[in-house]
Amino acid sequence: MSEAPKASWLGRLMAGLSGIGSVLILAMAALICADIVSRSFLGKPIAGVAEMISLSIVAVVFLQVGQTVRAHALARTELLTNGLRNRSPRIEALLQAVYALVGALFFAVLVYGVSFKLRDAWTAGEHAGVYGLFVVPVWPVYAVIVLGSFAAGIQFLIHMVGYLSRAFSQEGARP
Amino acid sequence: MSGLELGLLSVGAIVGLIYLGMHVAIVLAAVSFVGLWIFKGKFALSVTLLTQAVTESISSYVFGVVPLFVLMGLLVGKADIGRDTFRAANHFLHRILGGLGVATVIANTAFAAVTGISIASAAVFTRVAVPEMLRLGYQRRFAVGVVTGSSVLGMLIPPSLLLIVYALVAEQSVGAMFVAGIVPGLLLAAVFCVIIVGMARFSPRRVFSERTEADDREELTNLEALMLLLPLIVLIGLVLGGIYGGFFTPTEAGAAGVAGALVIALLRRRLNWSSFWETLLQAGQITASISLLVIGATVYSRMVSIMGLPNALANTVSAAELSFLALILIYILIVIALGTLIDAISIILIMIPIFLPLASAFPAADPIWFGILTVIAAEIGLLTPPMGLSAYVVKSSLDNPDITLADIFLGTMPFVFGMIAIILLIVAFPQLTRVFL
Amino acid sequence: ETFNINVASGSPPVVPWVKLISDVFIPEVNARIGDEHTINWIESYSGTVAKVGGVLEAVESGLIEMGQVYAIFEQDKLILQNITYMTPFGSDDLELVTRMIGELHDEHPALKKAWEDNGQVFIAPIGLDTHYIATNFPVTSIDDLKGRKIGGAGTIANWLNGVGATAVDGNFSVHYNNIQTGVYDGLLNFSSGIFPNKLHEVAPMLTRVDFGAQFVGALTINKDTWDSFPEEVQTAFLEAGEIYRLKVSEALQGFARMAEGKMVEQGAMQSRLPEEERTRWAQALPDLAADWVVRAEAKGLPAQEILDAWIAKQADNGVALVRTWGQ
Ligand code: NA
Ligand code: NA
Repeated sequence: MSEAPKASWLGRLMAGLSGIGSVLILAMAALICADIVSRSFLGKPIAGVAEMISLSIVAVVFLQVGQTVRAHALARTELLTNGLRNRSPRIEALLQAVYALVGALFFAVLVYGVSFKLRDAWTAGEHAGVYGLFVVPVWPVYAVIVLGSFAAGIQFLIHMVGYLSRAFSQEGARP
Repeated sequence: MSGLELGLLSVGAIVGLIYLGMHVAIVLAAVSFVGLWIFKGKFALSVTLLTQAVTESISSYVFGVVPLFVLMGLLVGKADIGRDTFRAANHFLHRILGGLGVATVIANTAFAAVTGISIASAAVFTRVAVPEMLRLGYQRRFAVGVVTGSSVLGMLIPPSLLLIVYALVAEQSVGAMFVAGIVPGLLLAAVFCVIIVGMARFSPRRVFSERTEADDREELTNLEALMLLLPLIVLIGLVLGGIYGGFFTPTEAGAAGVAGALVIALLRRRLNWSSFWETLLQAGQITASISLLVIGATVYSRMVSIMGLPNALANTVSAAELSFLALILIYILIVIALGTLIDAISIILIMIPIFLPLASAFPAADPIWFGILTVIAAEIGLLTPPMGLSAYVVKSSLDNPDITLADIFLGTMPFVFGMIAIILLIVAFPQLTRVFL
Repeated sequence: ETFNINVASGSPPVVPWVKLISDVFIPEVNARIGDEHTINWIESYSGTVAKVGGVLEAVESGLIEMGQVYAIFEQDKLILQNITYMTPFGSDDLELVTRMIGELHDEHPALKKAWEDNGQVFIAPIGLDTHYIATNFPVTSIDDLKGRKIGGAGTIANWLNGVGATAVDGNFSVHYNNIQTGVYDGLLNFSSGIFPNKLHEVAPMLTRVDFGAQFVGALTINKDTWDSFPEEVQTAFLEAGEIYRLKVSEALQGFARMAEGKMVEQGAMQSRLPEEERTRWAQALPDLAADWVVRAEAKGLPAQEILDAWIAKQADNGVALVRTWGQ
């Protein structure tokens, strides 16, 4: 489907977020390699690697998720929808619109639920790690989840609008 | 409605909606969300279920293996290591009847030791092995069948994304799962070779076309062929040597593997800024897709636990006085049946929370053995129509429109039987998964 | 009346305090509520509903009714409950330590309030038996540890860094390999964890340091569920909780003694760190409790008062303290 022009700023935002997420994977690899070298040759492990990795991985995923939805790269079985596309494209488009709506609702619930966790983590000053050794606040990760889920939810809505307009267009919607 | 009824209804809804084409991760989360809402009558509890699964399920050091091995696998593909392995294997095996097929399996086996995703194996060997086999007079159905069939080795021989996912869901050590996969993986490769040689010997028309066999392979000296294998050997030494030698955790091995693959790709000038950036983005996207699946599956497995479904099913099974063997065989049949339509990771995520507790009730159950059986059975789904991921990847990597999906599925059939044989062998001899443990 | 109780733990049922929920706590509750009430128990162990760090929130939300909450994974929300880890070198008697912790909860509302602020009620404390340092080199003095890499995750890493050793993150699934291959030279852990993981094979010098038994967390119940109980059911839970506490202490200490015997039988060398070295170790550490008091009081919690009460209670019970923390 063609992208609506109004979505282009969103496209740039998601590409940007996904770029950051991808670089973060490389940074994780670099941090772990640095830890291996430091531990083996200098006798000093880097403090907090486990905490940094476990928080980064969540960030990687949610920085990425908007772009993943945008690129239709979430795993699914396309057998039925592919078959329908030629026989009754209208029904296929309607079905896709419903799936997109459920996707948008899923991410909406995440935005709602994780916002509370974000607030609590901020007010309680929640940290990962061990006091005295290495601690890192957890709220930024929750913020990334909220941001990424918001982007993914909007993207699903844009998909939904696209499918609906296809379903109700004159030609009966050729993809 | 009781927890048991509601739980079973949810499982049915999940399988149905996945068939209908809704996004797997979202089906798992959404159905569980609604199911728990009905069960407990509180919207807020369902929200907690979801948010807790999101913040907890992937937030661990161990989960770091996922993006790292995905990235390493992609870099290994970029570095042409698959192609060189095939050239070297062909050099040493061309005298055997059906040697190119055997070379494909052997090269896949070696390549599997550095990649954790079957689609990488399928894509790489479609491009390097299929044209070569066609040129030398092999049947096209046989050529694509060998490539598709042997791609499953990529996720059985460690490192393997499926073994990682199983370890994460079943709370087993990733390292132990890797070790357990070695012997079954090598056995499967051996069975594949036997199938190929057997077909070439007893049913040559299925293997070779009418054309006489041309023998204009590239001339390599033994030393040149060995040198082609060097990068692969270095990477295997780094990654698997690191894990089994105990120097690295699997997560660290993933990071070291990324560094190693990056260095090799750069030294061979197979990577520029834009292709590197593309690879990184691709790794990010695969990671996100897999992680959302794991999140969805966590929501689902917690929901069935809260409803007491595993407990209730265990009571039902023990009341039915089902034997352990019967339970395992039923389980394998269900996994293979789901595999016709559902992807391997989703199958593991759906089945483990229900069946692992059931199986664990029997003293003979070993979660590591159970995991290997699960992975092989789920991988059969990569090869079976109508939805066989490996076959689709091979089809889309081919630049030969004459070869149809039907050709690929038919050519792959003998290897599906090989996998079923291995499953039965492992059911009969569970110690095969414990050789190095 | 009929109640549905789903009880969860992030740990598997091989851990005594999980197994004893099934074997002791549930039957004791059932025996006490008689025929008047029925409880439908669902047991969700091994992290099937929540991981070790997620049980607090799962119980608070009501996703599950009861859970095993590890305070050591809640350094911000249950900061006061981390007290024994900030005051090491106390008593090695697990039963005594959990009893004193229970009394402290009864006497200081701030401790119970910490649980209630997280939407739950404290039923019974759980704890760990004494810690050993298992190494592949002999340890007779804390100087032997200087420059050594020792496996030890979480708060106990602070105990190691203070004597010039380097704490390396690790867990039971990697300790064996890591020691064998020299990632580290030993580990600091509770004795009932060393034996089942065969760590004495690679780190056969077992030096009992007597860091003291530790208060790890508690079996808790959702506040709303608790408030919905008639009084006799509440009483049944508390009485069953006390029996559960005693049995867990007994089981862990019994297992620890058995494990020590077995490890020596299998070739491990057991020794006790000399008293003056133990004192040196205690003195060499930074004042963990003082830092903890500062952190807790910044959140408006009466940490100093509870620390003083804890020290006094140990003295009352005849525990010889080699260091007065928080001074
Ligand atoms: Na592999
Ligand atoms: Na299939």
